[in-house]
Amino acid sequence: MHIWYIWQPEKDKQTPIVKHMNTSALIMIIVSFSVVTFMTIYYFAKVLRTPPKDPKHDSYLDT
Amino acid sequence: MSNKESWGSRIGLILAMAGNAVGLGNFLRFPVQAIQNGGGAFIIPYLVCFLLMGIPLLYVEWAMGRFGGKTGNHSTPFILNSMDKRKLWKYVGVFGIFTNLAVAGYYCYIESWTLSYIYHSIVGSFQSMDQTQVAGFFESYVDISGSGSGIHFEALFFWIICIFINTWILSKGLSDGVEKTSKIGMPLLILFGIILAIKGITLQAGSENAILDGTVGLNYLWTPDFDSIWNFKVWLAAAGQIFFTLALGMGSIHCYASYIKANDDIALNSQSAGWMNEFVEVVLGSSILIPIAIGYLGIDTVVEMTKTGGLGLGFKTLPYLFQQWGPWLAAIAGIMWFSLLFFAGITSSLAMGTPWIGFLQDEFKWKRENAAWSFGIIILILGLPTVLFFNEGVFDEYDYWAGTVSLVVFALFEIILFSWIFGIEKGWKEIIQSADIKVPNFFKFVIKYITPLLLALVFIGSLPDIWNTIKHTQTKHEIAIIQNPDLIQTEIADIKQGLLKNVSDSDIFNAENIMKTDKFNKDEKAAIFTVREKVDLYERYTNSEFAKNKANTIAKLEKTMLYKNISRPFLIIVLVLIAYMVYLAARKRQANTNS
Repeated sequence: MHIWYIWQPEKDKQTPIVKHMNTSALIMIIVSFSVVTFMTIYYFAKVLRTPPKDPKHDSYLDT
Repeated sequence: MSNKESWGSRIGLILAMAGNAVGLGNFLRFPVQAIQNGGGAFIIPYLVCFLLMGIPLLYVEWAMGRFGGKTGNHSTPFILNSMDKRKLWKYVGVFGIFTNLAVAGYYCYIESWTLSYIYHSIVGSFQSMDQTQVAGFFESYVDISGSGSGIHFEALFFWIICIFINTWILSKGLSDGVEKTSKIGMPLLILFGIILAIKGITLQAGSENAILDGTVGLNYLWTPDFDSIWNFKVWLAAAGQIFFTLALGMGSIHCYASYIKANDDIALNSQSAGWMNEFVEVVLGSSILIPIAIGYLGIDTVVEMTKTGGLGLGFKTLPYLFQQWGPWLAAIAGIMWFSLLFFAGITSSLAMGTPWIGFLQDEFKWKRENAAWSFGIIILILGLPTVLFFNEGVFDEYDYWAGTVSLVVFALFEIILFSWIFGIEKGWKEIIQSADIKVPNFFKFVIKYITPLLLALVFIGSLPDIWNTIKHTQTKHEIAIIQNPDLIQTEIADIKQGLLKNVSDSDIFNAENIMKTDKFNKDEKAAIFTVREKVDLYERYTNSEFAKNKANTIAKLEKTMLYKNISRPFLIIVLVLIAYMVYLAARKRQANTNS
């Protein structure tokens, strides 16, 4: 299940600390973070790219 | 109408709306909810609820707000009334003002803790404190008469400062106050969040006294327990989280959206603000608190600590853990963490002030400044019981009735109004009018059928909890076991014969690293913690020292019930007073129409 193991310079040599992540956890992280980050950037970029409907009479004060 | 305010820029509007949604819950509530409800699998019901309830309600609330704004209405009583002329809706809309005032009453108090903790991080108050001392600092901080730092009534002082800051910003107006604050606060919040998340995830076991890597915490939080998806309570928790995180059912979104011009988009704006909140919650919210806490305290301890929510971890533990990074880095991390929470808090509390101000400006022609100061005075009066009687449970009572039940009730009414009374055809036209994106037709069906159904389920699912809260079931049970601790032994025996019938006593009481082992299933793990907790409780309640104070403890719990009972009519009086003001405003409008 574990996709990587990295030995750490741990304090107690009797109980070595292993850096590991479950595959399923990693998949959940990658999928969730990617979806949420992509959608946030996608919509925000779309806001930035969308020109005012009527630049001469823009309804916002300073856009 | 005298209320001619508007947003200064589109980015400002989106950041203010995102700031309204992003609150302390993104960092303190979400990760704890995820841990308690299936870990990584929690994201599945969470995102489904976001899709079927969050996004539709965002569309609905933004559309209702802009629709009301077209006729000069900036508070929910008259926004709702502009959609249907029946009197009922005016009074349903009262919830949209009441909730904001009542929540602001206690929310500003938490916000003031963050302000105080920024100060203490700067002056190094937590240096050389151990974990118990840092926890004790918080306990004595919220106990108004005492003081963790030697400053008497410090909590009151910072609370008043916090209310003053909120009021002052609100008095500056929508564009010069709220929007400017959001333009500064939100980017800083995201920046601080990213820095702390990187630090949390890259925590190395063995360095800076950490016992585990930061990734262990992330791994624990995100490891999915797919069985939990079939549990109704997990869905209820996910729906609840979506509600709180997006500030749905409060009336603040309606109010902000009512200042958008008639020909401006709401579809893209609402999605941009909503997803920004999700980024902060899912990505940043899961990468700071739990990875750092588990890195230093281990999984079992953190699981124990999260049983009482995330506030304890955020305020009682993190300041101590930051100290492990050395004095300079500890100060910087403390400032960043509590500033991040402060910005999350203030951008939300400002949104809570706007509906009341809009109401006074629209209906009673108050000047913005006066309306803002009246908001300050009201939350000072309304919040005072939560500050003075925090330990008596008044704070929790406000949070439950105003910050939980009211939201669901209001959202249920508003979706019925929008979809079935105003009509989904007209409603849909409102949503897609001037839209800068194509809104999928799928949401038309969802808004009409699925979202109301889900909201009804959330409400019905909450009824047992509402009943238990009214009856003080938990507190009464606690009193019963203090009076007769043998009841605890009976409960322990029941658990042992039930969930733990295959687990030896030796494992129940002595096993270590329970959450990491495959020796027990998840129900057994939870039961082991419960038994240990009950054994601790039994030992405490049968202790001879405790016996001397038994009567006092029971009296304290009874006092808690009394204070909670008093706070309920207090909240009802506030609700009725706002309803009376709405009645007066309606009469005034009628008189103006007739003349």
